[in-house]
Amino acid sequence: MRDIEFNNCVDEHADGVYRFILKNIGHVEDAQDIVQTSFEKLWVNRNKVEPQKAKSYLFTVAYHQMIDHIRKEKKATVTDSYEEVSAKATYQKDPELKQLLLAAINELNPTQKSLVLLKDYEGYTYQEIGEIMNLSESQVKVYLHRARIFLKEKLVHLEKAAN
Amino acid sequence: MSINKNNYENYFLLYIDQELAASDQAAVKNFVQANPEYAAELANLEKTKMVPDTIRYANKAFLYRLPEIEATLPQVFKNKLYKQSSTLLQPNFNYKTKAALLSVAALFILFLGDRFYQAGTNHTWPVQASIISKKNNFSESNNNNPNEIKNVFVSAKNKSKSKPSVKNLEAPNFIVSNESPTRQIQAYPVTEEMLNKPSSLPFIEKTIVPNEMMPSETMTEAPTHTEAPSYKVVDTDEQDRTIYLANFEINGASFRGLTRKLNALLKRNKSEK
Repeated sequence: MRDIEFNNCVDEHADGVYRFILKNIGHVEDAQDIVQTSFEKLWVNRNKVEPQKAKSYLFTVAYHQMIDHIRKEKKATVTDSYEEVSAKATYQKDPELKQLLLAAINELNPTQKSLVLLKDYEGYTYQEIGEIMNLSESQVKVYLHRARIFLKEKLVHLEKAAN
Repeated sequence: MSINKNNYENYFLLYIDQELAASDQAAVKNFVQANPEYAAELANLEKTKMVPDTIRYANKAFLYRLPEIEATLPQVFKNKLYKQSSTLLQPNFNYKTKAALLSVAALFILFLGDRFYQAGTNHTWPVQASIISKKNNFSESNNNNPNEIKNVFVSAKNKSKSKPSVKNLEAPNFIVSNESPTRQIQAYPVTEEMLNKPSSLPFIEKTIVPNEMMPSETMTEAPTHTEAPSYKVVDTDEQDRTIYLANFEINGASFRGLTRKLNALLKRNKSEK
């Protein structure tokens, strides 16, 4: 990977990696540090990483950095800053539904949350998610389906409570 | 495999995750249309799908790698970007010594200089004696003013306290010769015979009448015996000794104490080093 291709990766994937980490841990500064570390590792291993696999590499590194961070900080739940960042989102399909969904996602474990975010935000396939998270494709499928069912039931319950 | 009431949920989840082939997606849509009671189930699963937010990473500039530009930067500029440890200021013996000496010199000038100035205002310079002796002949001065000799004595006393003063002499009669301002004042004992024969005086060429020469009380009260005069030795190392430096009059005791303190200070510094 040349420096120009690396800079293209920054333009194309920095926002996605940052959003993925920020939605998981909820801390802006920590998310920025993780993104920076991820790109540092990509630069160090630029000769080993193919340009077309740079995105998957970045998410893989960022995910493992995030897991390490969560283990160190023992932050499995999203903090207030997460809500602040989410409130500043420019695109909101349904503000009420979005808030309910965010509240429901906060109750998922980190693995399920990462699965949902990688699937919905980045559009990765089960196989790609498995590569990033070091899981098998069937594991990704089972875990993600469990997360969806949990979210569906949670949303139905919250909507009934709201009404 | 066709979609039925037992496996519809799995198909719905795969449909939400876009993991189905186009044919299977169409099959799911057909199943929902055929079974409207499952449309709400599919709609609830649709709600679990998150819509991406537009979040920007603000610090992309720090992530870019620009080796071409970096290569053009001069090494001096790059070195300025690194943190550099500040050099510690080592105490210097010479520096301290110089500062101490300058301080002492400044105090010396400020303190003693003022004293010199005050002393100089009331100072009677020894030149006065020489001027008097040059202008007037010794005998003429005695004729005109009997107190002239006393003035000469006072001037000689002001010149140097360490030198033998005329006042300290125990000789009954004496005459002061102050021929030159640079010469030491000499006192000659005067005996009765000399007074009867003025021409025998060593420094008086002109004939002096004894009666006119001694109108003062000191001369009239002079004894008549002819014993050899004795001199008192003056201690030149007395404490109130005065040192002359240009126009300044330095107190000897103070100067000696100051030099001792300076010597002690320099010795201590040497031992510390």
